[in-house]
Amino acid sequence: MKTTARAIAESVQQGQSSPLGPAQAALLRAQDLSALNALIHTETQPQCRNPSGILAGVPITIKDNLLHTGRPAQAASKILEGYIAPNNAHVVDRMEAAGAVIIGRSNMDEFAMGSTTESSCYGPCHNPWDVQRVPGGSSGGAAALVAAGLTPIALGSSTGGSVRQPASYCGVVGLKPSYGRVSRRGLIAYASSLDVVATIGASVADAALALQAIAGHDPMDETSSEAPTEDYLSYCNKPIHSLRIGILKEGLSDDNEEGVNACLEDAANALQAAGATLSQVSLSQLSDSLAAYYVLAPAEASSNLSRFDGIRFGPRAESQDLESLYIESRSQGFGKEVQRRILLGTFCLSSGYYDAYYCRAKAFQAKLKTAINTLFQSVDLLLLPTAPTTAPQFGAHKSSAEMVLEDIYTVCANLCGIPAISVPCGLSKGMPVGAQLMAPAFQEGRLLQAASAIEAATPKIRPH
Amino acid sequence: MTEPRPPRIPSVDDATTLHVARLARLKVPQASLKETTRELAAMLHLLQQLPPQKPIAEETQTGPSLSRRSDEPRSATSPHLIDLSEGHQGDFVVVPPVLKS
Repeated sequence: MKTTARAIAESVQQGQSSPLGPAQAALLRAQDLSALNALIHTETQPQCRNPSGILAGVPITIKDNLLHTGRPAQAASKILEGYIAPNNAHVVDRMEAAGAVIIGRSNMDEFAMGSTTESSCYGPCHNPWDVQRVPGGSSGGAAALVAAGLTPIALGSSTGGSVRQPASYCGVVGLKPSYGRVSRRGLIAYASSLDVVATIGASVADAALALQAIAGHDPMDETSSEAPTEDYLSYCNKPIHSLRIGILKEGLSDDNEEGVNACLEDAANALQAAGATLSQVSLSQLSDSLAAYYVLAPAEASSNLSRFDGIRFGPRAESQDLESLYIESRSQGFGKEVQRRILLGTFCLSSGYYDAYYCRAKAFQAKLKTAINTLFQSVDLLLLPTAPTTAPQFGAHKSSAEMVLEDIYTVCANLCGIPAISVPCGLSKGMPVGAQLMAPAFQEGRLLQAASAIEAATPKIRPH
Repeated sequence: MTEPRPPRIPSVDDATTLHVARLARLKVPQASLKETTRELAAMLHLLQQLPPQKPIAEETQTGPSLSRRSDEPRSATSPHLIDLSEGHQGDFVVVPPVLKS
């Protein structure tokens, strides 16, 4: 698909193309992309419920951890094999009400735990720029499909960077809204205090349009905000003269791939040329945020995933007694990475180490929020890379501890509940690089404003 | 105001891994025990980067004390703590104070 979501919607609204035409074309093309292993379930009878909506006829994919009535929802885990969603996630209802046409479900890291989309029960997903490389994760399938031009929009989820990082690796736009901006109802939980449904777009305007469709209060999600939504698309054309942007010193580390820093400088120059005021700022807590994240997220995961025990969901292992049944079902159903994080979370929550880990991480999170709010008194946005490198080769990470370093620049926004976006800002050794912008809570508009300026100054990049 | 407690540096061995696995209702096969222990230790090493902090209750002067005595009743919203260091044999459940799932 070589066109934008807006162009497709306008064409359907004006009767120039049929509401299902773009979706049917995308489904045909999906067969050519099967080597990516990005689309793991396709719709046999796609439907357009609103041919006059803002996303009329726009084909989209949804991540495998979002519920869609009557369809399998496995979060890429064997433990949810055979589970059929009994209802729609709130965001699925919203997308359908806006006229979007769901064409299938995208591959992901099991339970959204990973940065490479290698830990999926469906097998690894590949990067359309170079199939020897990972697409990032955990929403790797969604980003790969948008990058390959199958759909202009995809829904993913973000707990620590799961949309921005794959967007950066695949050369597309990843928008993580503020916590509470979008309902989490119907999203299979990983770490409930950090999870958000997020959008991936082929362009900033596509990501904005998708956010416009899904943002808003949901009375059935207690953490959903009642703050009014905005016309997000309108921010994509606003001048940025009034914006003060702080370049985060810690983001330009010498440990980054050289080309990443060079591309970020290009992004900063583009913002300055468009009229923004730039300054350098510091957030000394940035590197420690990774440690805090890897206490809090696994801790919540160990609790959230305790419900998967072979009784209510998924295959049940044969066993002599109930306790063994739980243990066997969980050990056979969860993959290695999920088991590692459950063990880590259980360890951090145990009373001998609860103060040393969980309480320290929560206290650190509070200080991080204070520090970032203080920064936002002097600047409107923060600029830093999305990831320290471009997409690595499969198997490049020798251990989990090495893999998590890829998340160093993204977890901060999730810990603080603030919105952030990754926008392509160039190539390093032939692979895309993402620039990340963060804004105060519920200021998604500012992100879109500045990201559009970077997008306008960056030559269009596409996989070969 | 009391001094912040120095963090306890865990020494993870195979017995600890097996104990945590039992609490988490997971089985660690003997063949992968050493690898799992090594990975757990590597992750915990990373987590020790966290700067020492005062307990939240002392920082904010709000909320219940987290230094619960073992004979205090537990409420539905309180963490159910299991003391690994003392080889506590309590049954499963470690519930963090998470938001609605």
